[in-house]
Amino acid sequence: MTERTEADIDEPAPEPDDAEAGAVPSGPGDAEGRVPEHSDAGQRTAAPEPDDEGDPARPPAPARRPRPTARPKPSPGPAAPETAETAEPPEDAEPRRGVAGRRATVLAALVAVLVLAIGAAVWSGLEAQRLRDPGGNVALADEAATREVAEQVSAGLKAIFSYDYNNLARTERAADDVLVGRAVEQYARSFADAKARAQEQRLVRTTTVRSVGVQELAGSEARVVVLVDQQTLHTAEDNRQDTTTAALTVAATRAGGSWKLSSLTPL
Amino acid sequence: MRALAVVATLAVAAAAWFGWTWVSAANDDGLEVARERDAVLAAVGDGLVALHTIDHRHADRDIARWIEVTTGELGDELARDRQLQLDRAAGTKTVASATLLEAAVTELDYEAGTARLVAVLDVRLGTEGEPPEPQRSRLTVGAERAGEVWKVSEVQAAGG
Repeated sequence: MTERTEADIDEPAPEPDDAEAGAVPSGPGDAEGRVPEHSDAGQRTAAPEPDDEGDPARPPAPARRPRPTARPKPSPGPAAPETAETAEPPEDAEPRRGVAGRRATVLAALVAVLVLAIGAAVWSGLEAQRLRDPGGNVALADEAATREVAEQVSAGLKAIFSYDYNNLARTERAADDVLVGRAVEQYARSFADAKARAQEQRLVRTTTVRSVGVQELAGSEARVVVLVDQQTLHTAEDNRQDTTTAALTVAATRAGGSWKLSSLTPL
Repeated sequence: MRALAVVATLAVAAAAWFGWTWVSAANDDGLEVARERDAVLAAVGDGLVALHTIDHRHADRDIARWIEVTTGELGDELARDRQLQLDRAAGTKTVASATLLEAAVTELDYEAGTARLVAVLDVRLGTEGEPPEPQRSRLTVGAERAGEVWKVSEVQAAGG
C-alpha cells in the first residue's frame, strides 16, 4: 500500500519517463487512457509512459527512486508510517533491519487501520441504532399502515357502537367480528345496559368517528385515540334526537389480515 | 500479516457498511416523520395544558405563556384580547389548571409544517375561591411549525 502511494506520487517525475516515452511513441493501445488528463501537449510523452512502463517496471522503480527522494522530505509527511518506512536507514548501512522495520511499520499501520475501522463501525452502528430507536413506532411515518389501522378501528367502533332496537343482533355480530381479548368482556358489560335501554325506549343510535389518531403502531400492535359522535334517535318520543361526543383509547391487534380491537378504554 | 490485512480490510468494509446505515437512518423520511410526530405531540401537549392554565394572582405571566404557545390567528386573537382576559381573570378570581390525559396526531404534513391532533384533558376551573371543578375536555387541535417549534394554531372543543 505504502509503496504504491509513493510510486504514484513519483510517477510524473521527469527523467526516466521521457526516456521510456521516447522509446515507445507509437504504442497505439496506450494513448486511450491517460490522454484527457495531460491534454494534447503532453499526450505523447505522458500517455504511453505509466501504462507501458508501469506493470513490468513497477517493482524496481519504487525501490530505486523513493529512497533518494524520500529521505530529504520526511518533515512534511502527513502520514508518519510512510515517512518512517522510507526514511529508515539506507541499504548500505543495514538492509536486514530495514526489512524488519518495514514489516513492523506495515503491521502497525494495519493494526491502526483495524482499530480505527472497528471504532468507526461500532460508533456508526450505535448512532444508526439511536436514530432508528423511535422508529419502533411507525404511526404516521408509515402512511399506508397508519391509514389501515385508523380506517379499520374506525369501522369497528362505528359497527359496535351503532345499534337499532329492531336489529340488535346485527350489532352483536359486528362485536363478535371485531373484538378480541379483554375488549370482548369490556364491551359485553356496557352493551348489556345499552341493549336493555334500546329495547325499552326504542332507540336507534348512530355512531360516527369525529377524529382518530394513531398514537403507536409497531408490528401487529397499535394504540389509537378516538373521538366519536353518537346520535341517538328516540323513536318512542316523536323521533327526538340527541348527540353526545365520547373519547376513548383503543388497543388494536392485527390478526388474520385485519385489525381487531383488543381493549376499549373510555376517557 | 496477510491475515491481519484481511481482517483490517473486513473491518474497513464493516465500518463502511455501518456508516452507510447511519447516513441512511439520518436521511430516512419515515424516521424524520416519526421524530416530527413526537415533537408535535410533545409541544402541543404542553401548549394545551398551558392554554388551560391561569391564576389571577399571576395572570400576566400565564397569558404571556398562552401567546407564546400559539401561532396564527389564534395567537393574534389572544394577543389582542390580552387585557380583556386579564380583567376577567382578576374579576372572577379565576384559578385554572389542567392535565393532559391522552393525545395523538391525526394528520401530519411534514413538508408544509402542519398537523392536526386529538387530545383529551382534565381541566380544573375554580372561580371566586371556590374549589376547582374537574371537567373533561375533548379537543381537536391544529398545529403549525413556527421555525423549529410547533405551536397551537387552532383548538376546537368537541361537544360533551
